[in-house]
Amino acid sequence: MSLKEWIKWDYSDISDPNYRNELKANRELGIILFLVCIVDIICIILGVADVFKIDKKTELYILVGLTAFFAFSGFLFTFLTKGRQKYVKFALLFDLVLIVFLSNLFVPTYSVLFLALPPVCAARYADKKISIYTSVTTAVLLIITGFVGYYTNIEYDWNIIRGLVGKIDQLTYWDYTRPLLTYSITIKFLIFCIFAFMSVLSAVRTKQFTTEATETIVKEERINGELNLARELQEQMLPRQFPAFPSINNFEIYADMVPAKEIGGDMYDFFLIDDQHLGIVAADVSGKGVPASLFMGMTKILIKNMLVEEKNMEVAIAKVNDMLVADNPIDLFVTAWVGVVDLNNGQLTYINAGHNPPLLKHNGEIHYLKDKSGIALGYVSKRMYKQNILMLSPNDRLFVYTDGVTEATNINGQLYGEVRLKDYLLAHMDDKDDVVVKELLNELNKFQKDCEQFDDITMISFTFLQKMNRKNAKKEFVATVNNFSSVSEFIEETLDSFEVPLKVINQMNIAVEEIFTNIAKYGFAGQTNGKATIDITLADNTVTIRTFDNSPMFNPFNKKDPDISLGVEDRPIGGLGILMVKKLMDAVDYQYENNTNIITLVKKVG
Amino acid sequence: MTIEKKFNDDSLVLVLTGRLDTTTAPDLEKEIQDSTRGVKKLTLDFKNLEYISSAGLRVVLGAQKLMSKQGEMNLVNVSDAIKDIFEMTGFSEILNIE
Repeated sequence: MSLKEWIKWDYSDISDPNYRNELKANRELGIILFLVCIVDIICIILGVADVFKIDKKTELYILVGLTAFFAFSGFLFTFLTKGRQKYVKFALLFDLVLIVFLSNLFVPTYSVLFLALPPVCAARYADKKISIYTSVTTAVLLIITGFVGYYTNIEYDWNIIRGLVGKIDQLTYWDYTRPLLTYSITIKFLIFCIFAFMSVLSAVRTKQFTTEATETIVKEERINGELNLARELQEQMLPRQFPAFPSINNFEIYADMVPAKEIGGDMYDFFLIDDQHLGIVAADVSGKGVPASLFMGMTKILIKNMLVEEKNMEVAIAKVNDMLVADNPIDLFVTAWVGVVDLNNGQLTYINAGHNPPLLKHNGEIHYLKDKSGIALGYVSKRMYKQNILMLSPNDRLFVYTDGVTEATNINGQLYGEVRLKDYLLAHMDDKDDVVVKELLNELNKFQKDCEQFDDITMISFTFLQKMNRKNAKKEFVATVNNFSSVSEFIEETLDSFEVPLKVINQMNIAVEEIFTNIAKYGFAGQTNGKATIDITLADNTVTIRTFDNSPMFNPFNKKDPDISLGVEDRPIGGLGILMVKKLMDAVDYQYENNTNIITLVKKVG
Repeated sequence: MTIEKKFNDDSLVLVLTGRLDTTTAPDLEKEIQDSTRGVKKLTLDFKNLEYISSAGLRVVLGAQKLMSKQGEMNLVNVSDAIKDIFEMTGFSEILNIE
C-alpha cells in the first residue's frame, strides 16, 4: 500500500461517527509523528553541519536519534494497525508524550514549543478525558524535566547562567533550582496550562458539535426516508400492470407517471366501472410536497368511488368537488380530466375541470378537446360541471396528460408546448399506446436535456379498437329443481339468439344446471319460495353467465375436488358436478355481496 | 327424454333420446331399477342423447354399480361431446364405452 493510499484510508464502513473520528485522529497522529521524525532528521543534519554551538554533540545525536526512533515507531505502528485498535490512541499519545519528555529533558529551550503538541493532538480526539490525561501527564513530565535538567541539560538557559555568574565554583543544587523555578518552570508551566485548558475546551466543543451534526444527519435521513416512502406510495397507488385488462381486447391503454425530484401531486387512473364502462382519470394537484401528494391520494379515491357509485358523471364530479372543498384546509386545488368510455358502443363522456385539453385522434387527424366543464376541483363548492359526449370510432385514440408534458422546459427556457405534442402524436399515429407513451418520455428527456424536471409528467394513451357488441339477457326464476327446464330453455334460446355454437350452449347448460340445482337443493333447502336470477352476457367473444341468489352464503368452488381415479364401488358421486363446472368453463368465480351469492361462469366462444 | 326398451333374453338395451339432466335423470333411475331384474347384460344406447349432466352421471354410475354385481353394462353410440364429459370426470375409466 502506498503512502497516498494509506492517507486516504476509507472509514466509511464504520457507522459510529465517534469511532470513525477516533480512527481518523489516529491516522493523523501517525502523520504528526512522521513529521516529528523529519524534524529530528533535520536536527541531525544541522548538527553534523556544525550549525549548533553545543559542546555535547554526541549526546545531542543520541537524544535526537532516540526521539526520531520513537516518532518513527509510532508512525509505523499506526501504519501497521491502520489505526483500527481501541488502544492505538493511548499508545500514540504516550509515544508523543515520551518524545516531548526526552526533548525537554535535554534541550528545554529548543523544544519548548513541543510542549504544546500533546494537548493539541489530544484535542483532536474530541474526548474530554483524553485531553485531561494527556495534559496532566505532560505537565508532570514538564516539572520533572525542569528539576532533573540540572543533570541532563545539554544546552543552557541563559537566564540561569547569568544568575549563576560568580558562583561557578561553589554551585549548589539550590543555586540552580531557584532561578529555574522563577524563570523557567513556572512560566513554562503557566503557559502550558493555557494550552491544556484550550485542549480540554476544544475537545468538549468538538464533541458537542459532532453530536449535534450527527443528530441533524439522522433527522434528515429519517425525513428523506419518509419522503421516499411517500413517493413510493404515491407511485404504487397508480395502476402499473400492463396489459391492464388482458381479458378485454376491444381497447388498449397505457399510462405512466414520472415524478419530479420533489414529491408532487400528479396522478392517473383507469378502472372498469362495470362490465362495459371504463373510467379514465388524469389529475394534477396544485403545489408540491407531501400535502399535494396526500390530496392527490384523496382525489384518486374520491373520483373512482363516485364514478362507480353515481352513474351520472355531472353529479359524481360535483360531489367529488364538494368533498374536496370540505376537506381542504390549506386551499389546494386539483385540475382533472375525467372520462368514461362505454366499451359497448364507444360513447365517451367526459368532464374537464380546469385541466389541460387532451388530444383525440380521429380519422387520421389529431385535435385538442378544448371543451371546458368548469374550474379546478376543490376550489369552490356547489358548482356544476358540464359533461361533454362524443362517439369514438374504432381506432380512435385519446391522449390525456398533465402540464408536466407541455411545460417541460429546455435549456433555452422554451416549453415543449401543445404544438410539439400534437406533432409528436401525428408522427406516432400508428404506434401502439405503450410505444407512444415511452417514446414521448424519451423525447421529453432529450428536450429537457440538462434541465431538471420541475413537474411530474403524466400521460395516458387509450385506443378504442372496436365496439364490444355486448349482448345481455336477464331473467329471474323460482329456484326449484323442477324449474330447471325453464332455466335451460332460457339459456338455450338466449345463447342461440346470440349465435353461440351448440357445443358451447350445451356446456353452459351443464354448468348452470349444476349451479342452479345446488342453489335449489342446498341453498334454499328445497323451499319453493327461493329466487335466482340468471344474467347472460356475450361480449368480446366470451359468454359470461352470472347467477344471483340470496340463500345463505356458500361458495361451491371451495370444496375439494373428488378423487376421480377410484373404482366403481368406491367412486363418490358428490362434488362431480362442481368439478365438471370447473373443467367445462374457462373461468369461474364466487362473490358474496349485499347478502347475495354471485356465481360467475365464463366461457370463450370459438 | 324418452326411453325405449329392447329385451332379448337376459339382455336389455335402453335407447335414450333427448337430455339426461336433473329433471329427467330420476326417470332413467326408476326405469333401470324396474327393468334390470335378472338382466345379465345392460346396454345404454346414447345415439340420440344430446346432453348429460352430473345428475345423469349419477344414474349411470348407479347402473354400473348395480350391473357389475349381476352381469355387465355397455355404453354404445356415445357422441364426442358426451365422451368429453366422461373423460373429464374420470368416468371413461370405469365404464365400458364401445
